[in-house]
Order: sequence, then structure tokens, then C-alpha cells
Amino acid sequence: MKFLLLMLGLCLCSQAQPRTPILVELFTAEGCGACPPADELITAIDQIQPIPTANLIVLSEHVTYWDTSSRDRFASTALTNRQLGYAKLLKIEGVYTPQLIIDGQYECTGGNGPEAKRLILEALKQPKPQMEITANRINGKIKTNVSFFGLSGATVLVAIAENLAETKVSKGENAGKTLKHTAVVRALHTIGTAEGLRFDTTVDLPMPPIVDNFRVVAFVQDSKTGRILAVAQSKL
Amino acid sequence: MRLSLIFAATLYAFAPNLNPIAWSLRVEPTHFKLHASIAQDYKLFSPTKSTPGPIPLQIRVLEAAWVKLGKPVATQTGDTLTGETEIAIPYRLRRKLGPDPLTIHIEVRYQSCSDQICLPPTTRTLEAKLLPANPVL
Repeated sequence: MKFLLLMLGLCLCSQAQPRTPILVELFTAEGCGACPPADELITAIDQIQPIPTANLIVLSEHVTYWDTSSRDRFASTALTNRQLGYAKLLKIEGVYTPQLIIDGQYECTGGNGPEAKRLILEALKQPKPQMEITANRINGKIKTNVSFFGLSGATVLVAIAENLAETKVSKGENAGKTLKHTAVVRALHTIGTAEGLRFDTTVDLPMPPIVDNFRVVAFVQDSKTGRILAVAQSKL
Repeated sequence: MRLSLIFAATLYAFAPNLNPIAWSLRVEPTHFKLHASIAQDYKLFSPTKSTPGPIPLQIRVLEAAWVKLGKPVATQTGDTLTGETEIAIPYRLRRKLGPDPLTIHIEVRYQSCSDQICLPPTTRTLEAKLLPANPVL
């Protein structure tokens, strides 16, 4: 963990300051030999919150193109397509793992702590409106309310993510390793489009195959640029 | 400590190379010689890779009605290939060529990784001309 912080080159400051939420998406795969350090980095970012002015909301999104010898149980075509969408929007030559996408605007390799820090600080320059989220388990559903002001014309998405997941990998580049993942996306729903001055919507989302231990992350994304305009999370 | 920080920052200062392998193909009387120029720090998974995981280099000829490929042999041994490497692919013609050269296409499909990133399966198609003098099955 100390090494990861060293890589981030961050100081741990104790002064209480308002924190701007920043969405940090990690595209990763259990079959990718280069990915475990990035999984560790995203875990450290989530747990330590090392930038005093940022509330770093992380998501691990597992892609399918490494499912050659064994299936990554967290991977989905939807997440692979999401990464391909970023490649197009950010004009990147192709996709790769591990890849960090910061606030839908900036990208770097997943284990690149110093660059991640630089990009997070860059993303912090953009103001964000406050977003409220509440999520509760009711009758086998996740009742989620999302509200915010003043973001017309953007897509509102909700991710349900497993807080901590662990897999003992039996095949491939990571065979023999026990991989630990943080905020692993198990479902991603589009719940609406922001229109008018205020967005306030309650939805009943299906419970993913997780008994416990998950978080709900809502974010507003400009579909033309990919930029994350607002983000908030609720841990259950 | 300071040196470690500088090293960590410098190590990752470059954008990832998403096209780390340059391919070329030449025809010899009994073999195709496939040359891979693999960027520094990257590895390609060998066609003879025995362990499960990323796909090994797969080679096929699109004009299978004309050409039969044998088992590829890389100049490097082991599950991964690095640097400059050559893969020999024996071939036989299935039928006699006419007076004109036959253009054939060799398709390679592969995955590659560096210490920092891994790339999804990639397909490239290489072209070569077979002359009437080449051997017939």
C-alpha cells in the first residue's frame, strides 16, 4: 500500500476541505497479466482517498476480450462496449487493459499512479453541481433516487458495484493468483435523460447476484463528449 | 526515496503503444517467412504456446483452396516472443499455378502485452505473391 501511495506521489493531509466528486473508471480483466497492480491502485484510491480536495468514486469495469481460456465472471459485453465508446470519444487508437478513465475525459494506463494523480487534478478544475443519491434494498430491488439541478441534455446512469470481490484464478496469465477487486460493476443502467432545471427520479433496479457488500454509483454523462458532469455514490 | 519517486514518475511518462508489432512477410520456395518486429517491453504469445491464457499467434491463409500451411516454427523458443523474431511456415501448393503470380493473403491473429498493458486480440493481413516456380503438392 505504501508503494502505491509512493507511486501516486501524494501527501496525506488531514485538513478538512470540500471534496469534488471525480469518477475514476478502471477497465480491467482477470485474464490480463498487467492488470493486478491497477486493481491494487484503484483499491488504494478508494480506501485512502489520497487527494484532499477530491472525493474519488471508483468503478472497476471488467472487459471480455481476455476471456480466451477462462471466463472472467465480472466481464460483460456492455462494459467492453463502454470502453470502445471511450476510445472513439477520446480519439484513442484502440482499447487496452488496464486503462483508467478519469471523469470520462482523461485516460492513462491503469497502474500509472503519477499520471492518474495529474489527470485527477486536471479534472478537479471543472466545477460540478451537487448530486444526491439514496439507495435502499426493498423487496429484492434496489430503490434508488437520483436528483440534481441544471444539467440538461445528458444521460443519467446508475452502476451497481460489488464493494470488494476476490477470485482465485486458475488459468491464464494470472493463474495461481488471488485477485482482489474494488467496486466491481455488476450492472449498469441508464435511468433517464436530464431535462429542464431539475432531475429527480426514483427507480427500482433489479438486485444483482450479490447478497451483500455493494454500492450504487449514479453519474451524469454527456454522450457527445463522454464527460462526467456529476457523480455520487451510496454504499449499502 | 526521492530517486524512487522520480523513477516511478519517469517510468510511466509515455503514452502506451497500442500497435507494438510490425509485420512483414516474404516467400521462399518451401516456406513463408513471417517477421515480427516487437516493440521494446512488449511480448507476443508464441504460436506454440502450451499454457492457457492469451491466444497464441494464429496464422491462416485466406486462399486455402490453393495453399496448404504446415506447422509454424519460431526462431525463439518459449511461450512468448520478443524483439525481432521470425516464424517459418512451411507450405505446399494444392494445384499448379497458371502463368501469372498468385497473390495470397496470410492472416495473423494475436495478443500482446507489456509490463504495463495488455492488448485485445488483433488481426492483420499480409500479402505476398507466389510464382509459378513454387512447389506443388
